[in-house]
Amino acid sequence: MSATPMSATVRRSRLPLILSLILAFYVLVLYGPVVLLPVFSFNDNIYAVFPLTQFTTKWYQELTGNQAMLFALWASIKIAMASAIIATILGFLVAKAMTRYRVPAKNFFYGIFMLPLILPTIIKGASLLSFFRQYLDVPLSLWTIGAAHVTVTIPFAMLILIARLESFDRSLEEASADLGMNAWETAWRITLPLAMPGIIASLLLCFIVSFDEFMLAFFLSGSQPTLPIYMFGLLRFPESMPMMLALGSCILFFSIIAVTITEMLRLKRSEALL
Amino acid sequence: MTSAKVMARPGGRPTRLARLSDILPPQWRRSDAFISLLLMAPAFLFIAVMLFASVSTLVLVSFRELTDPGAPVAYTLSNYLALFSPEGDIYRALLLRSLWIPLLTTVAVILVAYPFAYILAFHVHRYKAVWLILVTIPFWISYFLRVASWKVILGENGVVNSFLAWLGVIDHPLEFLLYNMGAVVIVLTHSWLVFAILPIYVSLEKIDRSFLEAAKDLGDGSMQVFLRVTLPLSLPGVFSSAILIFVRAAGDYVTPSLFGGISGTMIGNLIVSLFTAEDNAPMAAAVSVFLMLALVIVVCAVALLYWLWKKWRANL
Amino acid sequence: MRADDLKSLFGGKDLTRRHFHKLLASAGIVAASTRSRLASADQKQLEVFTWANYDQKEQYAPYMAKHQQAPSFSILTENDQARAKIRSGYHPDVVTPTENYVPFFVKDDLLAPIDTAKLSNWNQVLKPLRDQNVAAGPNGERYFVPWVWGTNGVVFRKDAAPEYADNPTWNILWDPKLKGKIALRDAPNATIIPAALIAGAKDPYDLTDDELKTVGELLRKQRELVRFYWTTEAEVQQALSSGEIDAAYGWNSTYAGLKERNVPVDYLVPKEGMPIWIDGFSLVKGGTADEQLKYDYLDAVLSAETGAFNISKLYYGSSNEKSFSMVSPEILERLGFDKLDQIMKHGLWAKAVPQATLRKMVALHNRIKSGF
Repeated sequence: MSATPMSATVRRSRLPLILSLILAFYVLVLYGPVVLLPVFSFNDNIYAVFPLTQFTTKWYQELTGNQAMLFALWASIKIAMASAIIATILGFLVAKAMTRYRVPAKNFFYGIFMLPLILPTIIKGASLLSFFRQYLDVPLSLWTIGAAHVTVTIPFAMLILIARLESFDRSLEEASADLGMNAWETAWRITLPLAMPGIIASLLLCFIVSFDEFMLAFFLSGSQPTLPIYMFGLLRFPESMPMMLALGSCILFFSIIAVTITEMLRLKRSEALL
Repeated sequence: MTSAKVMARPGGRPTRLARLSDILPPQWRRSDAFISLLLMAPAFLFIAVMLFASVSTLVLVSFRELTDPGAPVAYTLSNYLALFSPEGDIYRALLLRSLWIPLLTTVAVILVAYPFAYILAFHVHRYKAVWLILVTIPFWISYFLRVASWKVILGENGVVNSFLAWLGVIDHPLEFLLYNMGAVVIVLTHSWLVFAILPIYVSLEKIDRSFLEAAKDLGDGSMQVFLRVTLPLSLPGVFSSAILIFVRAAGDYVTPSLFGGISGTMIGNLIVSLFTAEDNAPMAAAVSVFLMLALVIVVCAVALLYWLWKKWRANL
Repeated sequence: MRADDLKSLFGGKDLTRRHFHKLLASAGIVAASTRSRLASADQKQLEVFTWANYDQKEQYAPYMAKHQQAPSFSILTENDQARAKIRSGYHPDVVTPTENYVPFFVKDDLLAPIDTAKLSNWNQVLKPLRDQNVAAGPNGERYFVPWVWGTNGVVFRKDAAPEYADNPTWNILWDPKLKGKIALRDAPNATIIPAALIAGAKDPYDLTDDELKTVGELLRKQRELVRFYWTTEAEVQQALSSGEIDAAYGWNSTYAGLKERNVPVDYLVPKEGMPIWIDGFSLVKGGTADEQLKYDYLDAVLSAETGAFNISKLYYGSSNEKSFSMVSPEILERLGFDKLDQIMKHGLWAKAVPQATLRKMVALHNRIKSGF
């Protein structure tokens, strides 16, 4: 940016109208299927069909009374956060190795790390279950689900971070080494900040993958279900559909609010720094 | 040099406590192979331990004969032969379909995602983090609920049909919106959109802006700058997301079973059915190996193309 | 040696457990697992592996009168997957299979026999249900106590096909008039048994190869008319209520749910025969809870009060005869349970299909669904 201060400030000023419209269109595409959830969650009909009948909040009341579902939600959040963080750390190390060093048998390792993606999930689920139960004899719990989710999220983290680290300027890292920083300092002060957008993207994607994963969680869950399992169980009963729509709407609502608030706080802080 | 010699360097006075790495020979410490293996070790061990059993037994079982309980285990090639027998037409056709549908999906996802990622990377300057998270929020909602919404959108009395009827474009609801290959591609494309937007954004974001300015100064038009600089530099992100999406979509079985109708069933459905309902684990394993081989071949072919292309560019 | 495929697939024979422990000992994983085994030794909670909504307090109230700690529940979503899960080494104490799956659980040696003499409510179970003992052991051992049940028929819109009100037949699902307006359940039994009944098969639960061929032809003809194959009741109810389809393979609970919301539908009890499904409880071999807890739980769920709750809240029939007199006649009528005697007499009780035939049925179902 410092190289081109003029054009940067000009570009910074305003998004052209046409681009704003395109962005709006994308938001519509991304959110299209989920904006219907709040609509039907306030409709007094257990079937999600048009025309709408009558406004009601009873599905939300039903939701607040359903502790089991909220527990399942919490379990999923915990697992998804843990596996996103672990997978991103492991994936980062792999990406660093693959992009910075001459890795022996690179393709072999690459294949191994992609393996969790290629194996059909039902096979993975059944084999991991027997691995945990018959070989290790660990009881099924959220830990077993989390361990499985780390294996399937590692490839996601690895691929994103390789794409980020690949072909970005190695000279910065070399320069820092020349300046006498050791490997850790270089990693902490140069590589990590440069990789940060990739790390954030990796955390977000791994979170989604784990949060929404059903088949592995089915095989590896004990008495504490994750949200997808709980929901799939209830799908058998049409009466519980609106309550699930209400839950989906709440997730939508609270996540948007949370993002807005954190971003506002962040902006305030950075303004204060200026 | 052995590690013992390093520790007891003759004449040398230890100035600090020996670190773990000091016990290693120096040429190891500096060797690429050693450092990279060390970096990859945690992920490798984790995956190897968790999946070693499943992959090896999967291959083993795919050669097993289907026997009744209590009968001795026998090995055979018949499961693989069945894949190529006249009755195996269903396996072959579904496998082709399971490569074709993900291919369409991947292309669609990249085409839709790229412009969005491009705008985010180059034209949006405020609230970038907010945008990134906004992109992922729809996917925090359970797949089962998104599916229900898709049925409302594409259904006979759904959003699309009602809208078209309101516009006066159609007088009968369009029935082909659901329960076919197209519906599967639409739903899959939406599900995987975010998995292309973020990686592509990430690799566009890292492009040094001075490259672009330089190209402009050399008199290239914006389109030429894009084709000659931006696009090639963003290809790592495009390829990695394409591989991810292709492989994951090929193994999907929920979307095809809910939206696929007769033309959209995929091999994942068959594997699940063989494994559970039909109780034929050997055949399920053979079909899985078949699918995995096909995916490996496709991925390798793409990687090879990418490599050739890179070489060709380097020679230019 | 146990040659069960899955178990040896992921279990014991090819890689021995010792082998694996050796491999893992270096990673220090085994140490952690031995500790967890010790922790669970004292007072084991009863663990029930059952469908969502089968875990409600009202359904096991008598159990809570005797014990302080409620059972822990894990959610079952599909019979096949539940079987695969137990086979791979998951050992709850109690499981809730559907009747026609029980023989496969037994074949895999996953269940322990139930001593009905220990169940005080057993004598209240409907006699036809008591008389049939699915997957009986060599000495008449019982592996399954029936709990809830329902009928398989056709739900159709009265406004679209009124003529079938007086002509209850599976043929409605082959009526060209309803092209593109028919939904079937995505399960081999649900597509093949009705076709077999129309074709006049001798035993719809054990079809010969010739009969399967005829059935295949019928299903290929039917495929041209089918809009979709449903997997959840919500899906098919939604489509019937929006008018996207006019007729569907469905349960009496499907019909009751729609009726309650004033959708103009009728329920057709096919004259060719109406298969009945039953969900019930089995004891899992290797479940570690106290025997007394298991039997107290089985006895609790078989109580008349639990059955009445299931009828009025889940729209499912009860295996306890007394339950029906505890529910209002309107509800019974809406569910078609007012003619209980007739159902008991004419209902086609689901039977387990022999393994070899079942494989052929599943394969046929998959071929039909994929367009072959």
